[in-house]
Amino acid sequence: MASTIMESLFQRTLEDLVKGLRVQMIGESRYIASHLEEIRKEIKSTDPHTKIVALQKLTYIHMIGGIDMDWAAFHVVEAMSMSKFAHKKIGYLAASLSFHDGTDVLLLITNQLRKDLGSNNEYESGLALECLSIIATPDLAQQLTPDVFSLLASGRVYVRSRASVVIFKLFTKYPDAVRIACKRLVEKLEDTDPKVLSATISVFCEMALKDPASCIPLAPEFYRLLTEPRDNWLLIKVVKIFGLLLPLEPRLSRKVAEPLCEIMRHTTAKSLLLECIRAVTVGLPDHGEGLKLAVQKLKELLMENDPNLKYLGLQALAALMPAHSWAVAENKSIIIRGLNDDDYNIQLASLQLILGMVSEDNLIDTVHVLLQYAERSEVSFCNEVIGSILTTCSRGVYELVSDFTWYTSILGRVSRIRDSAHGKEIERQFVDIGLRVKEVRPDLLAVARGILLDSTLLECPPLYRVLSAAAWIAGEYVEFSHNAIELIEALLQPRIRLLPPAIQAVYLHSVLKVFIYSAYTSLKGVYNEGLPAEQLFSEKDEESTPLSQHLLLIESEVKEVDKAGIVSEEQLEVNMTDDASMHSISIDSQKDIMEGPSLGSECEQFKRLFELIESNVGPMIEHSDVEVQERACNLLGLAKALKEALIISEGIPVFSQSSSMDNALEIVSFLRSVFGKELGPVSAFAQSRVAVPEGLVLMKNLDNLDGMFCDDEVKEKSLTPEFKTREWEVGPKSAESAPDTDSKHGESSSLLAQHRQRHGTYYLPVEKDITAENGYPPPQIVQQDIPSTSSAADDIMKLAEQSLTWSKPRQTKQRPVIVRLDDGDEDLILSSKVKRDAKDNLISSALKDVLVSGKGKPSMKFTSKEDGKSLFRSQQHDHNAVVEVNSNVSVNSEEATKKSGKRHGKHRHKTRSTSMSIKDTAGPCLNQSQGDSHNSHSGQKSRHKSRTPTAIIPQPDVIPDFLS
Amino acid sequence: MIHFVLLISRQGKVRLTKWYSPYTQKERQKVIRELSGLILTRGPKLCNFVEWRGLKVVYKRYASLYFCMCIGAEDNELECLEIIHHYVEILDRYFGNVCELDLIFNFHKAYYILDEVLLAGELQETSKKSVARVIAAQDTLVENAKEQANSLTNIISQATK
Repeated sequence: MASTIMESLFQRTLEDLVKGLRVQMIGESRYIASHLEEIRKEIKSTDPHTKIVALQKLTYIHMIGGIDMDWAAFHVVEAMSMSKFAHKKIGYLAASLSFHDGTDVLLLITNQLRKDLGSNNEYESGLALECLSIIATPDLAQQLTPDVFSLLASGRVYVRSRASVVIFKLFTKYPDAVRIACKRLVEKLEDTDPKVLSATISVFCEMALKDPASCIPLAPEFYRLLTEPRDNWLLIKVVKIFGLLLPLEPRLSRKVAEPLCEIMRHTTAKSLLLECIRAVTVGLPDHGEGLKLAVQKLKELLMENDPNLKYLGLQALAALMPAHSWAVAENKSIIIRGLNDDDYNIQLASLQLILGMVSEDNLIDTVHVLLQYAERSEVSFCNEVIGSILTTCSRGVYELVSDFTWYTSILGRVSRIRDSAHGKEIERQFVDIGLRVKEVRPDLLAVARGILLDSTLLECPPLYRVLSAAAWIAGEYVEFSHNAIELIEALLQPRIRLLPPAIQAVYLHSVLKVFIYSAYTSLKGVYNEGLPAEQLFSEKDEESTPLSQHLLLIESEVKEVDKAGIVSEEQLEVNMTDDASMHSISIDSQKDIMEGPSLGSECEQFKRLFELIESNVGPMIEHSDVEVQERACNLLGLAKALKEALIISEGIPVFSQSSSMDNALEIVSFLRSVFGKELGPVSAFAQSRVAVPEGLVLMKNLDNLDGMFCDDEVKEKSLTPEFKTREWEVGPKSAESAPDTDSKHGESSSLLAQHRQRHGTYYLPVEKDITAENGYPPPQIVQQDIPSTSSAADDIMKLAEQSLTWSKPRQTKQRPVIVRLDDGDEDLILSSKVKRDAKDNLISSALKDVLVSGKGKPSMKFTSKEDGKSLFRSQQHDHNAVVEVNSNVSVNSEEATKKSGKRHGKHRHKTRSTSMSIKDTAGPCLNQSQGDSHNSHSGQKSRHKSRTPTAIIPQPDVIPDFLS
Repeated sequence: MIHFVLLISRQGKVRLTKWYSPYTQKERQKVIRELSGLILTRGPKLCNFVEWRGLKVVYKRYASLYFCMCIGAEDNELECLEIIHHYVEILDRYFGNVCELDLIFNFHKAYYILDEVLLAGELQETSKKSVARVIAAQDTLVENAKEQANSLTNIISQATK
């Protein structure tokens, strides 16, 4: 006895604990740990007071720090069963905070909860109800449903209103409870006490959110509540319910529209107004007056200088947008101003609205305005804008884009944004456009060339994917290039060793393609040399190059021509920097200059090509990545073979008309024919269309091959070093990729110097030893004309407001052909549908049973039982008329599927399974099964409908007297 | 419905948490961390809503304390703001010019009041008066019990001296 008294006297209270925590002399976690030790002892005390204080402290620690208190679960149960209200209360608090589905003592508390639920003290019942609402498990729900059900009829408002909320919680855990309690819950809609009413409405609101269709029979009740004067809390819920019911039962709109408008006109509560606007948006899309009023009120909300209202208003506009774009266009200036808002959320909402309003006519203006905003805003928003531009433009296989030259230039511009998170998407679109749109390939190549030449991009890891796409384009569409050598130089610049191996491999492959192309065109020219000169000159074939003509010229001319070539190149580069968007015009205009003076430079260029490849690709044959290594070896081998065939001593090419020459041409033209074939887009389902050859067993287990693979691995390992040094012992030995850059400092710096000489504009003008630090010069930051002052921001805004027209059509140029596959493109976009929770289905089907088949239910306003029956019969009749009983439900769903267009697959599968289940249940108790099938079917229909809003299927008449 | 209620101080200390939807202990800590990162960094003139994991978090700052409630995607944000304000007003009335310290030292009372206002994530009591009445009635029940306990220990401690 004495010990418990001492414990109780010297026990630290909650206040001590909190004070100590606030002082934090020894660090929070240690302090809590020391307290926990104490609590562990105290909680075992036989003195209830000590125990309770310990429990209270533990609860506090649990709440703030997330300390596990499962170990004390039994003590919590003890506290709950204490007789004193003060103790019980702390026990229940601890239980509702710490118990979860896995708590093992839950089995022990059923009786305690039952006792407290039935307590004479309404506050004890309240505690038990609160606790049950949080910790209910299916078992607890099953056992305690009758107790809570009886509380629904309690005379005390406090208990009654709580019970009606808690019973819903029990429904979700134990759907069968609906059959027991739903009727009484519906009765609660007529309760005289506003508190009970409000609690009940919030329950039905939750039910309607889960399954709106099941609540349609109660529409008359909700309508009554809507029209009677009530407090706003209740009205919000009722309006929300109607917002959910209206799309399913369009006939309700005649009744509900007027009260909704009335509320919108007179209410001063913004929350209620917002709810009405939302309900009108989804529920009354054809009600002109209601919509006008809603849009007007929305405008008023947007005008108020409250960020909350602005954000919610923009969201409401977004909901209106698909069907009523005029509402959005009316608020254009507010939306555009939203892009400049301090609040990221508002920026995003505005962005979505603007992109939602994009059409073929205003795409170019909109994208330009958005890009201007993007380049001035923070990284995250910038990325958001770019991402949305990319998705909007590529939507429906670029259906909005009519000018692809423009779009490729936009892609090029977007590629220069350094912190971009969309490298992958840009890469995809570059390649995709290249494959699909033939006309735009020259522009694409020009953009790719600009990207490849800009060596500063090589230091932006987010853009590596873009570089890989650019390299691929350079290789694939090299025939549109006027200076293949330049492309090879760009592709082989020393900095590409900064790239990841996979992308280096793409680069090397592109070098191969470009090399083959230029060699082929040159050699073909030489081969034609045998023909008379006049014929050569007259032959302005694309593929005949001036190389052959060079051979007719004397060597002294070479110098002059070279000089001219350099001049033209310089001009090109100037153009490049001037025009960041890189329209192909600059290159086109160069064409004439290029063709004339570069006559004869081929020989020199050939020589330089071999040098370039040998010096740059040479080191790569020892690359650690197999892919890079192999491609480097191939490339180098090919170059060597060609060189031996074509060039003899001192770099002077001797094109002997011998067999070696023919050989070389044969190799090159073969490879050219390999690469010259056009690549096209392939359907994602192409593979599935290929029939599996007979005798091929794809599903065969390959386990027994394991032994072979093991052997292979060992062999490979032993082979690798040999392979590495086998053939190509040229070039200096180097370490593996990463340290590579340091160890080969000297070599790379000389390469760098060469590169610098050629592409001076992309290097910093300062002549410091910039290579000293890491072997690569720091990237030159491209200065953009970013207006920094707020006045400049205003300017953009003004510009935006003026230039963004969401109604006026404008002339655009002819849209090129875009290769589309007959299928696959769209199907891929279809997102997978969210499957409904099985439990929700159970609840709603139970609810339907109760509400629809419940005869003589007060809410239906039937005068007698007989009426109810006849109504039910007539419903079935109606239903049958639609369904054609003998051919079963599936027929109807097939029809519905046809109506709803091309959505199939999953849905069809689902309906089939429904019809199956109906067949199964058609047994001896015919009436019952029909009722069931009716329910499940209409549930199916409503779900189907919510997915395809265009296909309107008449609902069975569940509330005829209300709607007539 | 409201999925959970969080009270976080400006320094990121948790003052009260109430979970109406099932979250495991681990998830709860993660949610608290995530949301304090999201909400505490927001400036004063921004809107009071944050979209988070497909749900919406409505928050409002009173003095040094952030009251946050997480609601479903279909719920009404402004209504939730009003619920927060409703709760704060009731706290203010009960404690008499409530401050963060009141809630720290009387965390259980903050819970009792919250339980009167919200039940199972639904607004239960819209009248401030009746919440005050119910809480007062329960307090007297508790006080009676305490007095008994105190007097008992007093008597015994007197006796053991």
